[in-house]
Amino acid sequence: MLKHTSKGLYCEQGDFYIDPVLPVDKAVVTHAHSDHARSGHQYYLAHKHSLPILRSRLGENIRAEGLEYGEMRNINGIKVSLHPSGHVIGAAQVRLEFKGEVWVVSGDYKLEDDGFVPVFEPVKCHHFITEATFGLPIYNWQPQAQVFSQIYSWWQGNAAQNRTSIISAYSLGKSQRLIFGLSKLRGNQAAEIYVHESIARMNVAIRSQGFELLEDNIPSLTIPSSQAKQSKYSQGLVLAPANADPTWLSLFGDYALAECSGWMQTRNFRKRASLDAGFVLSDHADWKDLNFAITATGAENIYTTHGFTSPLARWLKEEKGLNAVELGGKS
Amino acid sequence: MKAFAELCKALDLASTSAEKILALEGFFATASTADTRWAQYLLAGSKIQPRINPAQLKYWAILEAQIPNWLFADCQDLINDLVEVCSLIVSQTVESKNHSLDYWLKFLENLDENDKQAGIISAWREQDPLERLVFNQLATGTLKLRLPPDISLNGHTHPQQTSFLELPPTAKFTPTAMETGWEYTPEKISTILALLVYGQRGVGKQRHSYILTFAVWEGAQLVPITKVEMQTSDERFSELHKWMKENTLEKFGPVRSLRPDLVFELQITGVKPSARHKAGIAVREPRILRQLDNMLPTEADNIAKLKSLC
Repeated sequence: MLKHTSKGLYCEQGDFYIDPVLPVDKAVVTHAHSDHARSGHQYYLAHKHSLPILRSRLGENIRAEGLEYGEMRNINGIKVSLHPSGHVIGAAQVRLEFKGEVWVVSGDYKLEDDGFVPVFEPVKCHHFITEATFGLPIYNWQPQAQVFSQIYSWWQGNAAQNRTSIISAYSLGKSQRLIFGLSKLRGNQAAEIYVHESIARMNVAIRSQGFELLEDNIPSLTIPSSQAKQSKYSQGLVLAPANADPTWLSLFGDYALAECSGWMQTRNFRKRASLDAGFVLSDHADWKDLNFAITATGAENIYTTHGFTSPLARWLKEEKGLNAVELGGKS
Repeated sequence: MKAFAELCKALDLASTSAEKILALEGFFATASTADTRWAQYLLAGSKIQPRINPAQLKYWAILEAQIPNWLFADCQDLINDLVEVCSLIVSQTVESKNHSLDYWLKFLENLDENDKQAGIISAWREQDPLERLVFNQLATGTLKLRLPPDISLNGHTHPQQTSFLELPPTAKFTPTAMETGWEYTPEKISTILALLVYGQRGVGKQRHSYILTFAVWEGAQLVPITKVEMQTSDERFSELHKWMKENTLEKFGPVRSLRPDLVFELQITGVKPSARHKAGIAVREPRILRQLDNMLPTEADNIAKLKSLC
């Protein structure tokens, strides 16, 4: 039902692509991160919560239609529906059914409930195309409550030294998860949390979908004024996008920089990123959750994509007896 | 041991002495007397006798994680550290009691000779990943914590590096635990001659440092073997920087490729084979000793010499 092509996953019967990498006519988009939602398609179909974000990223004039989770569309005989993947706001797995055969494209997913987006829902299918970003057994996450308390005590430690804490994080997903999780540890207050303007824009788009970020107004920082150096933000936690300009960061004077991602699990990646601290907090499934999710679909045919596709496919084939291959590879 | 494990992580990431000192102050402010003494000992670069070897560690971790050998090898290819792979693939199954560093060292000391496996695996199950890494490094004698010489331990006296037994005993400290085989294991230090081939100015937090890349000969070609950071406050920096500006072959972004004319003597604490490095080897803890102005580029070492140090 789905073919791996140079433009992306293609459904011939329905004449549409899923997360295409090159411009196409019809694109079903699993979520609004830029490596999945690209510009230049004629028509977009995505979860309704992804639409404002897609518009803010790709332009207000894109032609896009939004679906609810579980709502079904018939595209030339193919029944298409979206189901929660738990990755970020609006993220969905795509379920396709044609003549009794069911395929599911996972997009990116995580299983742990972040208290913010709908939890991953296993969907029974015959063919499951799974992401494999962290498809090695060294990726073994701790519960998020422990990670948040590590981040919080790092922040408090910096504040005691009058150093601003800066975390570089994706503007969509990780930033809101951090605001939500850290506000809770401050008694449901976002006091002293600041965001870079690009994250503030994302928060506006997200709030327009009815999501609460606990505080209506987390200050947005364009350029920290000269006051920054006068320790205005010395007690603060600043969320900045990963590509924030070093000059912008240096305006905070004395600061400590951290990253929160699954890549922070290993020493070599932590060191390469030249950070003061690295916290393991991911919006992707770890090894055991990948295995759990794959098993839960009941699928016999597994295709791995993105990340450690080869070891995950070999593991599923040799150890779990599944018909597993790398997407686009030979069986 | 969480606090000590956090300290190890912070020291590992810190790029300046000031940051290292901050982390040390944080640790010593709350550490117990026994943990303070152990930490001082380990921070002096001293080691304890390994209780198990890496092959045992790997075997037991594979059993506990229930994965095949090839999958372990894939993980090792990625992070190039057997002890760390072992620490990450096993899971915590019971709540951590956050035992002290002192507790875990005594635990290792008193490990049942006839059933080390059961002891080690039971320890893993109650450790978080950072604690488990430090525990496994202690168990295999691979923990490396030596501080740069400009840091003294925050008002604490520098411990002797020869033996625990010379440390003054305290109420909580039991030297008898050490008498049965915890000894200082010296590292093998060697020096190599390498050519400076790239210079890269740091950005952001790293703006006060310069990354220098060194290469050695492989036939008539130069092959990069290691990078060393030099602080711009280093007294040798300004002259070197001037030389680099005059001898730049090409610039790409912050990186300059340099005329391979300058020979440096580097101190290293070991060389090991590495599939991940272009040269096929990884050198450990490189430090710049001096610039050798009277040496010709052709007098720099070749890769065969470094491989012979493996």
